[in-house]
Amino acid sequence: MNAVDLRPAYPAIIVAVTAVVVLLLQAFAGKGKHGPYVPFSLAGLAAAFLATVMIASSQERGLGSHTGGALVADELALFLEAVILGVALLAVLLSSSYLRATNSERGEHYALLLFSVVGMLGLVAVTEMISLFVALEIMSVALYALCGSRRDQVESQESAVKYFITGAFSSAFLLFGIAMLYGVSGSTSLGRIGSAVTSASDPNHGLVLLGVGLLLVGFGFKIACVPFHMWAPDVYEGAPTTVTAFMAAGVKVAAFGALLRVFGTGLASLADDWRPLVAILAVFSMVLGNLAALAQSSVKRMLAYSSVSHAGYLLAALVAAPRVSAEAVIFYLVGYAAVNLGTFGALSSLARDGREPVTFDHLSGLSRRHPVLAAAFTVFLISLMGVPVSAGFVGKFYLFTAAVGAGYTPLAIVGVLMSVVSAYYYLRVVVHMYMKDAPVEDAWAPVSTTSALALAVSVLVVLGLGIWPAGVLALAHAAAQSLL
Amino acid sequence: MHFTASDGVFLAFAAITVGSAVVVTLARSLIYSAFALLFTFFGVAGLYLLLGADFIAASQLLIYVGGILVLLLFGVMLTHKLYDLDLKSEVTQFAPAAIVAAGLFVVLAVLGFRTTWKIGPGRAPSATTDEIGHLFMGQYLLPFEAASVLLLVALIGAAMIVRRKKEA
Repeated sequence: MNAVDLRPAYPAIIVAVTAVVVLLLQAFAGKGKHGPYVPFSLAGLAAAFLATVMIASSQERGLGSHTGGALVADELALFLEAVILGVALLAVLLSSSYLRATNSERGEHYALLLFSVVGMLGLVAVTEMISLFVALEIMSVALYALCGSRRDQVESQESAVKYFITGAFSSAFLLFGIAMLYGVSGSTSLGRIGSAVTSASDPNHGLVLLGVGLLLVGFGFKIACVPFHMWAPDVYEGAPTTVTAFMAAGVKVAAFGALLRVFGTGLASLADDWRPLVAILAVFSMVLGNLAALAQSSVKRMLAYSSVSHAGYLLAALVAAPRVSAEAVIFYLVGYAAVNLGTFGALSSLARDGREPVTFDHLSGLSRRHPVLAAAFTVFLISLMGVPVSAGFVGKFYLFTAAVGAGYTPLAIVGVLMSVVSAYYYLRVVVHMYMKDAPVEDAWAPVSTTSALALAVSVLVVLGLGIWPAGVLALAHAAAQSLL
Repeated sequence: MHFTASDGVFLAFAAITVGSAVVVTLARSLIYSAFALLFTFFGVAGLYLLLGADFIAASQLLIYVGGILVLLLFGVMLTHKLYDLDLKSEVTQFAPAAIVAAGLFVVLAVLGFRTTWKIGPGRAPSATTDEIGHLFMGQYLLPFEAASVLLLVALIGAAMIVRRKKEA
């Protein structure tokens, strides 16, 4: 019997234990009282972050063969794990005041959020299909429940049901795809699958293509790219806003991390087959996502469609060679995660007595009541647009450069054109905040200290990446190099 | 090509599975669907058995027939609204659905015959549990343990969703 080295799983184990502790805090808090969920959650996430950094800086990292080869701790996994833990830290900070404002503070909420993080941490580190599926389900099941956690709102229930059904549907596609690839290679490990089929003249080529296609559909649902995006607007709109923030940031990072690993290593030899498919998905997502966003009257729905279009931008880079696309995608994900936390977090931080800003009109005159928040919101929107001095500009530059370098120039052109279109609906928010008159009574709450802290960190990340991208780019480069 | 006894058994189980699955989808009463599902699960268990996967066949019967289906039936029978519910099974979008389904069937059938499937040694191990146990405790230890986290998450999530909201 070989001893199993659990080191690559340490961050996930720490977070899982924290989740159980938080759950017990609720049990011991006494009737009608709340335990110290937030400090414990933050401490656990910080400890996991520390563990990730320590694994990254240790000499013997134990690549590959440990934990039965199910998890790796390479640069890609560690970097994305750190990003996910950062996202979770900010999401917990945002949640604490939002849950109080909506009268739905409960230990389970934090526990489920932490469990979802466990799934995400697994998802970016797996090298084997069964583990990938289990990690994906841990992440998703926790999120289904979180979406429905506002019992007083029928929209929240609707979003949970919709997310659950489409999620279960997409998992079936993913499983079917995994089964097809297993049928060809006789293995669930990405490395073996990759070496099982290399040439197009192989008689099994057709089956592999079917498997790859089904995998792409399954991932397509998770990252919400057209035509697998139908759930996104309703779910993003109906879910509690801090859950939306966490979901929009965390799931994108985790799912694209898994996508990079599966398609960049296991299925890299078949790139000529799946590249055109990815390019088609990218074009549809960029065009339809942006056009649909134009027509929205709810800010959350507009941001949901915007997230569909950003999935398109990210997919556009995926057509490049694995390492080139990985570098661009990883860099973009960091800034994008911060922006998503920021936009949805800004909306959530205004919640009071179970109400929060939903439509554009609700944000009218925000600059007078909340000048700092309005300025922060503007920074996030500018980054979503891709204006210089923001993370979005540098990120989009690398994404589209990757697409052009791979010979898919039209993708980059569509991306740039659609970014221009997107300026209309992003600027609409700014116009409402700065140029419209505020309603007479001030309905929105003052921003709490914890929310302000989370938003400040997001702003710093967005501007920092825009002005001084070299540091994170170097990390993204190292992470991309660790792809086989 | 010889038609052997096991081919006949396979066809019988396959017919049970597919036939009852059709009833599950088309039945107008939820209770009929649930009962038809019993035969679908049974047929699938038979197919597993035929492939020499005795443990999976037994688990299929225990968990799906013995657990999930019974729960489903109780749920339907104890809920008046569901019991009397007249399910709408009108056909919408028939043409596109038929085209997609037929296309997928052809693709799967063609690929099924053309592929050289990765087939293990001729016979299944006589005691499959032995092999499964070693895989769970060795190669697949991590996903096996992680599955328990998944179950815990599902439990907590379900408890959170059904819990009555406290009077504020």
